[in-house]
Amino acid sequence: MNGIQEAFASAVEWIKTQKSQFSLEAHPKQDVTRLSFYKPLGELLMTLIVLRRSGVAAQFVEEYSNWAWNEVGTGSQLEELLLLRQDLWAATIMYGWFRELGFYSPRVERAVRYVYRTDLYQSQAIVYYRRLEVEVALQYLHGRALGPEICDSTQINAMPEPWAVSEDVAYTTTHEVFYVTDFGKRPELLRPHIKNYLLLWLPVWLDVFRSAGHWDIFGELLTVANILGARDIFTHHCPHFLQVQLGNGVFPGPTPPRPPLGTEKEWDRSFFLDNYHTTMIGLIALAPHVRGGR
Amino acid sequence: MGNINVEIGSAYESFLRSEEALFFDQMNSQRTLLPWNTVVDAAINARLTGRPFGPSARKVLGVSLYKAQEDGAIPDGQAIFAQIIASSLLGKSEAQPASGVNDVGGDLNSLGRGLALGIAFSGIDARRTIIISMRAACALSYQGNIADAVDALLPAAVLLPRTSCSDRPVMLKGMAQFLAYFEACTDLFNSSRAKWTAKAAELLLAIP
Repeated sequence: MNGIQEAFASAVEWIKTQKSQFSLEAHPKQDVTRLSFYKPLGELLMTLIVLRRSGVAAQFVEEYSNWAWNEVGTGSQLEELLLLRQDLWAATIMYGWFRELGFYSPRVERAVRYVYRTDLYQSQAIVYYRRLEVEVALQYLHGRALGPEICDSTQINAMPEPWAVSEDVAYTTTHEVFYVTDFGKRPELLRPHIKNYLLLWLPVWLDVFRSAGHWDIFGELLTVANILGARDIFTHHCPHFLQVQLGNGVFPGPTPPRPPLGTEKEWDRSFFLDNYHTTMIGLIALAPHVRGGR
Repeated sequence: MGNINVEIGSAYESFLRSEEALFFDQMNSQRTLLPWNTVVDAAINARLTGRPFGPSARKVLGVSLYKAQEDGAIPDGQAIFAQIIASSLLGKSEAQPASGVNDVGGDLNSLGRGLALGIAFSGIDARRTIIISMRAACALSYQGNIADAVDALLPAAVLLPRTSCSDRPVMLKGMAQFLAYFEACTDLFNSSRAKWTAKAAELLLAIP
């Protein structure tokens, strides 16, 4: 089993070897207006932001941020997506991440502002944490800080029965924490009762998803522990996470391993899709504990 | 508040007496090592009846627990509490749970009874005991093991009304949720313990 330093470094190395899988070139051109086309790249951006804030893997962050900006044609591909598919409001988030990483395009920004103003976005039934994600991304554009009132419509504000946790409930919980606090940048936005609720039940949920072998949620819950400043919870549970890391640096995703089928290229693609998210969550969870970070 | 505590204590005592023999009187004259679960029962009953152990009994009980631990007779889920109680009985400095506060794994089926140890003596960290109790009840409820979940929740149900801490409102909310759930489960699991705990819910909910 690797220690935190080694586990983090080997996960970064695996992500580096997957550049072609994150690339938009990996998709057929006719898929250009499908959001799934952009999902891994968008999540890579989010990971880079957290690593940069933690002050770790600086060279990797800089190189891959620049590469990602070029992948989207320094913004032109995002502008096209936003104006061709205005229902894909989630694309506005991706530009928000780029903005936080220091990139800027007035044309994309104009498209984002348009999509945000549409009656469709304003009226669309959207899971609340997704709307939160948009709000967080947009604050990078207009520079207006969000307040703790963004907690009011969350699921965690209602403090649901803790034993009723399921995949959906857990993902909603973790994502609400991520977006309310902007991935730990502003932990004070979590109202005190929510923080106490999470601190009380987090260890149980970690045990539940450890027993289930659901390392994706487990990694997200470890990240929540970081955001809450619960070092004891992180320290107690992190070894389980380190123990399941594969030799190539991958943190295994929730999909059970499958036998190699199809061509080598197809197999590589399915292995990437099954595991990239959990591996990046691993990076996010470990980053604050890497030596040399902030 | 005082009346509520008395009612809960009384209900808890009745509950214990109905399920376990009362060993207190025998304990004070006992000179040999005792089974660890006998010590547990004695400790709980001593606490509830307010009748303290004499020095000899304390030694027998404490040594019995230590010996049982050494022999591996105490299930993992209860060992940490046994250690605390043994230390307390023998007059040693209070042993705080070094681990286990965040860990609800291990022998969950026996954890509920082990947790009851935590309330048996003063000096036990009430807040930590409540947290362990509620987390164990949560894990057991998640597994659908309602009867053991009720057991696990007992220490929290007893301690919470008389414990003040900043996260108490969240604990009370959790307690109310548990008890509503147990009440709803009463018929499904045909559990008199669930019914008892549901009664405690009404009392707890009445606390300002």
